[in-house]
Amino acid sequence: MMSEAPRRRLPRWVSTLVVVGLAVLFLFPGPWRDVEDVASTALAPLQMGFSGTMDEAANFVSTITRVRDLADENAAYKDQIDQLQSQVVKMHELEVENADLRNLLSMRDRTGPGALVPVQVIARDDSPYVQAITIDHGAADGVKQDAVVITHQGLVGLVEKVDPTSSKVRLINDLNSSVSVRLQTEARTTGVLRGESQGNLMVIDYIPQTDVVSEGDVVLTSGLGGVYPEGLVVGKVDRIERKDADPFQSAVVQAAVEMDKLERLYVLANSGQ
Amino acid sequence: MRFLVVGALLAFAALLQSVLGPSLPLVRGRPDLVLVVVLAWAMLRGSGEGALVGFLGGMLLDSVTYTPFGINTALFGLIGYCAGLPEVNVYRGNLPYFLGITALATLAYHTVYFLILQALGNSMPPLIETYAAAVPAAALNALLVPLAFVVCRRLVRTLAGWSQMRL
Repeated sequence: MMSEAPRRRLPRWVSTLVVVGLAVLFLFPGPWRDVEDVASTALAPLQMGFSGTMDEAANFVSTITRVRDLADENAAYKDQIDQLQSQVVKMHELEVENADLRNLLSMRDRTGPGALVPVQVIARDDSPYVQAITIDHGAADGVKQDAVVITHQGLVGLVEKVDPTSSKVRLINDLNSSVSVRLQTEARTTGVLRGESQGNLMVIDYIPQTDVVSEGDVVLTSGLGGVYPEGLVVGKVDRIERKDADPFQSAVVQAAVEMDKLERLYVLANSGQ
Repeated sequence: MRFLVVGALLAFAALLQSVLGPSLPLVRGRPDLVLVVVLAWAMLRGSGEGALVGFLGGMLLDSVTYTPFGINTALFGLIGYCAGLPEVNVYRGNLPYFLGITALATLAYHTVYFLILQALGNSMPPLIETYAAAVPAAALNALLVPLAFVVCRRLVRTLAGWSQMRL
């Protein structure tokens, strides 16, 4: 049987020294202050670095624990952004509609009494032979054959085929379309406007050479023939084509309405048969 | 059943052509989607069904477009009949012939269409303008017809499978 090793005790003088040292430290702190300064100066950078590391570690841990919360927040923000964006789009649409309605009010003054039936384009024929559109209103909605179709910018065309729920409209830039027009000039020149089937251009032939016509002159419907009411804006003269030997000149007209961007149209309900 | 399905496919093509066609920011010519389906069907099933499907497709296109009713009906019926005259074996594995017939049929369609409208008293643009639209259309149709052929063939096979299961 082994005997336990005798426990070694610190010499008594060590404990005495510690007690005395502590007493001196508390009773006379002055000299120790310098030691403290030196130590703190040396340790401060380490302390800062350690503290920074600890902060980052704490942030990292907190981020990990908050990932789900952050994802939820992110989704909520995205929802908010989507909502705001859709509101902006809606506001823009309302703005356009507002301008449209204002124009419509002034147009009603020009077209006289009678209902304007708002219609939408649902299909389009866009070939070298035909410039036509299909609108979403037909006989059941009161649209009649030869009814006039306009926008707030001006004349669009004429209803030529009426089905029960839709109608086909020949545009004024179709090759087979003809509109009696008058130029807003001193001579009050009248003529027949034909389509060119190319973009927004149309032409008025057989204008006497004696009539002064210039670029930018406004072209309006003349009301002759009784199909189109008088005074609807058709377009502006884009250029004049004249030859000295020819007794007539032609005016190429740019349509007031952009035929390839038709959106909100109106059928003059009191027109047509 | 087969004709109901191809009728639905033609109606879809006609609507797509009339609603989306004009807004395609491509070259001047637009693909004639209904004609593409008619050609693919005629090449797959022969002249009898080609004529019938052409007739149906033309009628649908005539109802959604502005031009006088009947022109596309007659033309597509005729084109469907003619395109289906060679046996399907002639088309199979002969891509240049397949694409060539499509391009040729498209050009023929546009030319005859132009002449009919002119004969009906419509003011027409110069013939060169017609070809300025018809040539790109022929190229686009030729590009699209293999796809339409594959779709039609799959439809035919699926429907054949169904009828066998029913038997």
